[in-house]
Amino acid sequence: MAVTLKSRLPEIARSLQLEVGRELRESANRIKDGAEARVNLGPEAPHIKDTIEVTGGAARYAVEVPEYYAQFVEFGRKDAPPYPFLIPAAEEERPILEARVAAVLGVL
Amino acid sequence: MNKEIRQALFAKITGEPAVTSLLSDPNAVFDDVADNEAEYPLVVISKSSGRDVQAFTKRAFRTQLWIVKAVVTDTTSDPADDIDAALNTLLDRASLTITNSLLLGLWRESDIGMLEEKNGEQYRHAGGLYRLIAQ
Repeated sequence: MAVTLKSRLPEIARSLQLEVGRELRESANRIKDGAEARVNLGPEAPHIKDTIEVTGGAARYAVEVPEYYAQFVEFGRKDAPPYPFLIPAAEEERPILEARVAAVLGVL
Repeated sequence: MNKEIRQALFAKITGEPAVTSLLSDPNAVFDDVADNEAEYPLVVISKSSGRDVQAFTKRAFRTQLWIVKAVVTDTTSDPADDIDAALNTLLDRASLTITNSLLLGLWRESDIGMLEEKNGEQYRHAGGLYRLIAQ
């Protein structure tokens, strides 16, 4: 009897990039949403909240805040305490992303 | 528990001459923001974030990130970097006695570096984000 073995590795590799990439993109968007929800609204525009953006693609995403003064909000100034908004959002997302990527890997 | 962790960090930092000898005053360590009258160089510590990790029916541990930074008024980053290095030596992979709690880990996770200009003065911030895990 002849047995033919067919490797699923190429298919898994393709799915891995697609599925994990999708989870990473959704995770970055959740971090952006969490940061926007946390950041204080200053008296005048432009507001940090309106400048938070997700950049990147495929398997690498970043949540960026281009405004120079955002770092002083996150880490504090000489005469103002920090109001962390981006790091807490990323920290909250960390276990969610780990669980979702583990779930993706489990079905491949 | 946050109070006890903060107190433990204060005690650790203010008890280390390698750090305090670089400050304007041995007690120039502040919670969240320095006093208006504070002299530089100084250290500011502040909790950045934290969450509980559950196991079955109770909390297994807490994981937190703390901002620990030096603030100096200088035209170069050297004095702030020196204090930051002393803080790093003191806190990275260090022990910490926390009232009613057990430290499971303490390490530096990333750098903080900022230049702030105000009224013609330069204020340089140098420090790190420290991961603290406690039961």
